[in-house]
Amino acid sequence: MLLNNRQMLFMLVSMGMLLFLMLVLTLFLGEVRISLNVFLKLFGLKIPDIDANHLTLAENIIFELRLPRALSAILVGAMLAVSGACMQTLFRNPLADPALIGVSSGAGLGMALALVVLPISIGTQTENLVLIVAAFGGGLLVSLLVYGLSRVYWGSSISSMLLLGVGINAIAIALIGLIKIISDDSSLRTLVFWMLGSVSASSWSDMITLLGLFLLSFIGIMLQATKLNVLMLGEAEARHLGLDVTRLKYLLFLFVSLAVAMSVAIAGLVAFVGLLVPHVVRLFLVSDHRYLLPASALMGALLLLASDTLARTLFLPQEIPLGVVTALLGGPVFILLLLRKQWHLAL
Amino acid sequence: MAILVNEVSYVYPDQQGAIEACSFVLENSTISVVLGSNGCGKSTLLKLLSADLKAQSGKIVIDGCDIQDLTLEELARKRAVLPQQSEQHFLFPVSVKNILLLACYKKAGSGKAHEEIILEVSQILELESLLFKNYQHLSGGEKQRVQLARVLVQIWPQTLHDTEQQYLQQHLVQNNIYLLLDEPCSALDMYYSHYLLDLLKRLCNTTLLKNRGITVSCFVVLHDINLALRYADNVLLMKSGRLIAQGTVKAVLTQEHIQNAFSVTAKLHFRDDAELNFIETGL
Repeated sequence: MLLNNRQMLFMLVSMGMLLFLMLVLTLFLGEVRISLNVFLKLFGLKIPDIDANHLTLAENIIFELRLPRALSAILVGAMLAVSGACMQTLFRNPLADPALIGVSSGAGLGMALALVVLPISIGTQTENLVLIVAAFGGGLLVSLLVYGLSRVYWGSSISSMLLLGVGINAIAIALIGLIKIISDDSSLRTLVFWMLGSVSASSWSDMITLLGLFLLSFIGIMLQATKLNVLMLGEAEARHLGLDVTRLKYLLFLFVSLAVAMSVAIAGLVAFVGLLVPHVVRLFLVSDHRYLLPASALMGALLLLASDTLARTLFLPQEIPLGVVTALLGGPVFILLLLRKQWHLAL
Repeated sequence: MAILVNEVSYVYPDQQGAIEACSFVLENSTISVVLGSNGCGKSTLLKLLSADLKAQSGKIVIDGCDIQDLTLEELARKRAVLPQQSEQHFLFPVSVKNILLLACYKKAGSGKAHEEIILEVSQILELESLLFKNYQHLSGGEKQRVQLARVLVQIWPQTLHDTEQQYLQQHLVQNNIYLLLDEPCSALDMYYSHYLLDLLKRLCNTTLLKNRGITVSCFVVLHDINLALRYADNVLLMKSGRLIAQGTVKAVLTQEHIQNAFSVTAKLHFRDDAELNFIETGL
């Protein structure tokens, strides 16, 4: 039915290799054509007769523009997919995704506020840092609000959190809408493009923050993998087996808000990755979280990297918002998979 | 040692349903069966015993320890629980064996020992042929048997080798284990209903697990009065949150008590040796 441990390890390694190949391909593709000779030379092969100017230009484009952007796409995709996988198990709901429970729109609201209230625009280092902090603040605030309210009124029951999240999500989206109206032309442009998702503004300084926080939240979540498995039995059942469910929920909320806020701050609201990727992995590969989480991370990274490459190369010189590509690419694939597998949906 | 329940009361936050001053003892190596009409508080009582709910007054003492002082992990080693609606649905495909492996969370011993335990329990519950099937595709009764197997795996001791067995018998190390089961037969057919209760009885009364250092006692919520009659050592009869009768089958299952608790008439049939054999009920 599903893969065993050895097959799963093989699968993870092949997905990792595929991701690497995709990364190399992505560095090669783009608006500025780089000849194969130059490309190979940059990666250490000895190739004679290359114009030095051309080489410097290519080096700049690949290492200062394409590589950080590709790495951002990889990290954001991995974060969103892992967060989605956690949320679905935690909420026992196949539709749960960080966007649904309001974490992403909370982070989005924080960022939109920062963009409009503070005299900044996306681009420079300090400004990016401010935006990351604003997004993290917004995301964490919303998850604490959801968690706190449901804890006080419903003993932190999962379904109450989901419903509260939906409510708060609606409020946050409405507030972002309001902010759009009062913002000036240039902020509005940034805001709209960012809301549809994009990793175009990535730089090396972002990368280091992003990588550090990604590792922190990914390791934090991976340490809960066995506990997430036990939680699949049901909340009461998990508690009977000696699992501190409340603590687990609290930890996951913390790490997931961190991961989601990070990805929103870097890439905006990228739709669908958190929902699509964990489903595909669960349906076709494995439901054991020790493998599900890394497999989702790799597949999310692949999907986002491919989408971003398409977004920036499909209609040159015009760039399409990343969220549009992920949804257009992921949506039909998702529906097809569901239809073919005739999955037993527990709805 | 045993579970002592002393004057325990509980009221839900919305004031609906309550347990009022219940006191009883769950003796070791016995099966206590709780009977009562719908909504009389049987499941609430079970949730108090499993520490899912916290009694507002009164005391529950397990083997000399107040239940409030035990950690989740300590509780998990003392008792296993089958909730009434144990997850019938898994959102994602999971094999039966993997579900049983999850029950080994916090269980001492190696992975190999866990595998042995799972194999033994699934043989006992006649589940071997289902081990590698997807849980989502099982029937309701099969799912309930898997959940029962999960509960048994949680407390099931390892097979002992001869030397260890001798050592144990010499030193008389006995751990008390409590099984708290809420309507374990609700989806089972007649064969498996009898099979399960007979198994519980054997776990409590025979040396099957005692030889491995484990003394089992069961607290079971049932609806079938005749199953209770046949397998219970002790019957607790509830009505509107109160225990209206408790004791042996013969003392509790009388016409008056049944009329009082369920509002049905009962006719008791006795065997030739004057033992209670069958209870016929009607409006």
